[in-house]
Amino acid sequence: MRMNQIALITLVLVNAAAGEPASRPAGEFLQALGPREWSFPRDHARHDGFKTEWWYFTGNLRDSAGRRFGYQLTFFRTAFTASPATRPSPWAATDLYFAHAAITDVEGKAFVYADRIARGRAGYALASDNDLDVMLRDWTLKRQADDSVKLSAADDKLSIDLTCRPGRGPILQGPGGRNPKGREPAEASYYYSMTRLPTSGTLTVNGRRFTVDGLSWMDHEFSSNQISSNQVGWDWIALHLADGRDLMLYRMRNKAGSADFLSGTLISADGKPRYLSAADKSLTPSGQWKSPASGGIYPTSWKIKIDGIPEMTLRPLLADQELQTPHSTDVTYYEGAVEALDPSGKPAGEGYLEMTGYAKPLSR
Amino acid sequence: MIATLRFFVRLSAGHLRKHRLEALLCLIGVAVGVAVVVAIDSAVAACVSSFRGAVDSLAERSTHSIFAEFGGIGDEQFIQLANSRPPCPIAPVIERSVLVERIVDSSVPTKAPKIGAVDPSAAPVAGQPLVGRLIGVDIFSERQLRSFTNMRGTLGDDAFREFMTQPDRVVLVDELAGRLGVSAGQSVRLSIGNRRREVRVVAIIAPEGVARSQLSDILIADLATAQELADSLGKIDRIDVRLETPEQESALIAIMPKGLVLRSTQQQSMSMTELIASYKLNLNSLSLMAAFVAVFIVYNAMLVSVRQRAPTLGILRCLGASRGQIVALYLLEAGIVAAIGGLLGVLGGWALARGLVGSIASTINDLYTAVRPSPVALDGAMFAKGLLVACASCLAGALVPLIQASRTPPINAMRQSAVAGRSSRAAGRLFIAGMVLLALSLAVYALPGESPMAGFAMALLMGLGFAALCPLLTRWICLGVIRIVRPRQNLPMQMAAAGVARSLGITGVAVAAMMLATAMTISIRTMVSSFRGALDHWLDRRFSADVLIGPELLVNHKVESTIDPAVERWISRQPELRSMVHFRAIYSDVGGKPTLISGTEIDPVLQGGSWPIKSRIDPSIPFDPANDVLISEPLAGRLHLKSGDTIDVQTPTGPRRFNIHGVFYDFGNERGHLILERQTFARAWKDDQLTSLHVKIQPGLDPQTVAARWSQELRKDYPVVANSYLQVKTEILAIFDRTFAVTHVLAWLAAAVAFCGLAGSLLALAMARQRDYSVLAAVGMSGRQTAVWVISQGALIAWTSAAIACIAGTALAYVMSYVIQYRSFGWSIPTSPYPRYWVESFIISSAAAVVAGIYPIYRLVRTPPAVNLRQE
Repeated sequence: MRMNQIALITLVLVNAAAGEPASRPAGEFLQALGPREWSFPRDHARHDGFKTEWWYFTGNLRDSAGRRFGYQLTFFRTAFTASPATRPSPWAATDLYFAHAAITDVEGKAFVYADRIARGRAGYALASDNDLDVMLRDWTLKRQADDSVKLSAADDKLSIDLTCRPGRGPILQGPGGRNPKGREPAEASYYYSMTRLPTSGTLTVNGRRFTVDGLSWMDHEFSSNQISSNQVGWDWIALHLADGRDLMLYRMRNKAGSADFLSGTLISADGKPRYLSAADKSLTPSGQWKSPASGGIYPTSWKIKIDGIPEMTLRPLLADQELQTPHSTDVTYYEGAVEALDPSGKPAGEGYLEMTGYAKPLSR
Repeated sequence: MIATLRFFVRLSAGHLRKHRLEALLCLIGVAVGVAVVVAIDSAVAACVSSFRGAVDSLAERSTHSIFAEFGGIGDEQFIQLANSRPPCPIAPVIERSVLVERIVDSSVPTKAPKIGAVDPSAAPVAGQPLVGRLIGVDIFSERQLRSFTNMRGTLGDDAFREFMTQPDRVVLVDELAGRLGVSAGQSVRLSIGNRRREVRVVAIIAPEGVARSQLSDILIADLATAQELADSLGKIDRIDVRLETPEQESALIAIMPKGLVLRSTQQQSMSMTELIASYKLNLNSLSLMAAFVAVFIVYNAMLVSVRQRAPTLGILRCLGASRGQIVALYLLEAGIVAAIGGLLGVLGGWALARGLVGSIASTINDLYTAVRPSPVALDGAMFAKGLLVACASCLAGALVPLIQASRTPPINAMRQSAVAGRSSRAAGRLFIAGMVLLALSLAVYALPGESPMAGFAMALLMGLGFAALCPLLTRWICLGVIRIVRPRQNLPMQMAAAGVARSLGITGVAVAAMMLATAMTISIRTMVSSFRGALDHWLDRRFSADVLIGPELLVNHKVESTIDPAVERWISRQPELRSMVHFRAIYSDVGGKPTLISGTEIDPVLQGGSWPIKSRIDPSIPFDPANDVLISEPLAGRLHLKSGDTIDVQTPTGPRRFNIHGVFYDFGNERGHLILERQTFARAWKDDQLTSLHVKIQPGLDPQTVAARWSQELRKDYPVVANSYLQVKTEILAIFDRTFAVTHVLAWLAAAVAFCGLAGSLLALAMARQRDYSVLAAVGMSGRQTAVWVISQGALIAWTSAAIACIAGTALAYVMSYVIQYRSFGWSIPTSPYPRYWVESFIISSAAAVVAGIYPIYRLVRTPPAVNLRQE
């Protein structure tokens, strides 16, 4: 569950007051109130009527020499209004798109990223309404005829050019794809993931090009909610475990700094999700790393205890994987490649860790 | 050394104390000369910097803009560029001039704006629209270019959402909102393009920093809203970019779609400087004329001072003072005059500039583009410039007297006659020099090249030439007067003429200075009157119509404004209508400069015979609507074209070559005007819109009444204005008069400088003749006779100068019309002498002679003869 976007959007756009009505009167956004009938590839596409939506690709890749890389490519959509006016100008604002791209070069100790924003308009910034096909100027992600997904994004410092072949998923992140975010019924989203996508292609970091392959994780989520006023941020983890299972965990933090809401899904090697209850899991941060850029202080290590798998410690592959997004939404957060170690120090998995609200609280 | 200096200072101070009035007149002369130069310079500079400020403030951090060669930039061209990963931030912009007014009630606006610019700084009148700039932006592209468009940061949530998603929503800057008297949530009425639209003000923002005053006329709209308001769906006006390195620039140019051009923001503000260059040059030259007259005054004053102190100087030389020391003494005095005169001049110039800036700005508003200059500030540069002008004038003026003073042998210094004899010889030499200068002036005209500077050089040489003729002509006139009055026993007149003729060193210069000032006044008035007459006549022929209909916004040089085709249909149904000519005008580059291009029905225009044609190919050859054009005289001059030649024009449908059927007089546009058949224009430019309609009504009807009725009817639905031709003409002539108001002020200031010269000369003459007077007074000359004597001297100087000025002024007027105006603006003004101004010059000179004589008479009469005689 990727909640940072919700907060990003909070900063970008106006929302109605917290706790929107459950039904959808005219002029109101749709809510994720119950299980949903899913149909693919249509549900890879844009979902009008929901306020926010995102397509999130992360992955851990290696070149032929074993050099390790992490990457992130995310597209966000947010609607200006629930019922846009019909207007003659093709620039008339209905949706706003923004995107973040990042590469972690572990051996080169480099973390490069870029962000951009644009209003929705055909050919300029748009998500298809019938398939996985999202673009923001020359950054794109598009499902191909063979069901693979092509990712492409480039900037001065980085370039991502990858193909994610079909793998595990879609996996619904909650019964009927409804993923609760809080205790209120409307505090939920529709959320599915494609957790293990064999990926190959090239990454360019500061002008140096690497041919890579590995595994990617894709999330697609849409909702019309935002974080509640007592929450300041969250932590999210997605892991490809060494035993073939996949794990998604998140916790929301309140103003006191403690977990306000904790949730997750453990996906078996044959693609069966187990929705973890609060009693099933614990997530404990430790250590400190202070960002020289933002001054935010982030945990450097996480202890994960899940019922049914050995205890793990999570460690970032590079300390500084913090993004600042001055060209889009001005939010500062941490999104980085991590590895999981078992108690004996052996690799138990790898994946991505997201930490928000450490540089500045993300609540309204 | 210090002791010498102290001695000199005491010597100078003593002299100045004794000749306070002369010193004061000299100071005033220098100060006024400096003031005029400083005032014009800083007032024009304030207007230019205001325009530059307006461009720069709007550009903020953007350094360049991309424009389409023709029309606007297609949305898809912008998207293509944006998707090609440009090497720098880029932002689409729509910018339009609009008239904006508060909606008092639901009634339609009835007060039409006047022809000529709407002064952007004028206080709002109820129901009177203000000129504003509507900026349509995509705030998501703006961030790295501009801060004042950051609506996300400045607007509240609801206002922001409304601004982004609802049609017809704008944000106003606080100053504009204040002047309109509107607040957030209220609506204003906009005239934009050919339509009138009501828009809601969602918020009012306060721009900060230096840009604040330059952004005081801004309305901000979302890009989509601006496209809808400006009727520009699928098009934007330009793309602002921020380039930091030459590499970025070349990378950007490499990916720019075809048909787009990159221009720097500096280039855009430079175009304003270029636009008003001729106007500025004219003003600066006139102001230099005032400084030039001041040089004569200094010369005169210094010469008089040398003369007055000849005995002292002789004594000093006899006592061993070197020539260098004498030179130093005069340099010191000239320096003091320059310093004090310069300082006074700068202060006066600053005050004058504050007055002139409004007038100059209004001319630039009328003729070129909207400017809102801030009040002229007194700064170091102004002092430096003023002191420089003062020092240069004083040095130039002091040069000859200095040489004279240093060269005079001590014995001669003590003898008056030697000086007089020498000045008479000098007059002869000067006369020859004058003739040479006049010949040179004519030679300059024959030189190849078209710079208006050559015209100014001609005028300068001519002015100097006539000035150099003055001493000898004065002598001849005086000798003539003596010959006439001697048989009549008119002693005071005879004495006066002899006195003037004998003291040519003083009087010749006074005549020259006064002549120059008078000639300047005569030439400017002659040129302006000729121009006005020509314009009047031209207007009658150019607009051979009774009623003119155009968009409201045309009043602000925005020819891109159009009128709705429905207006034309409505007019064509009116019973008063007899015939109608359609005009579509746009600006497009021809020969590298923006040129007005009009499409109209040429045949009725040519057949009517009234069109102000200067030359055309054989009239028996009919106008070929598909391939022929008419071009204006300024365009023909700029591109060296004549009837029968061809002209190449870039059009949106590709390059076209047209035959020049004829050249017409045009005082409307100095950058050039090309007229072609409307259908041909519509095809080549893919533009069949209308800019104006020239209507003839049924005989016997009153155009004013018809225009008023049409205006009232049309303005209910469209932002158009119907005016009778007479109204338009009156307003255009009013603009003309405003334009030349400054020129008149300058001419009169030059005359004021010259008056100081005359007064100084009379005083000097009186002082020089004090002993003669005393002898005469002792033998019984009455006070009245003294007055007649002094005033006759003044009158002789004034009349001589006026007589020469009539000739010189008229000659200068011809240079101004046929050389300077033609080379600056491309139009030739049929010029003729205006004897009225000659008579006026004589009257004014005579009055000046009387006024200038009062104090010398008082001084002479008051001093008892015995005092002077004792010195004998």
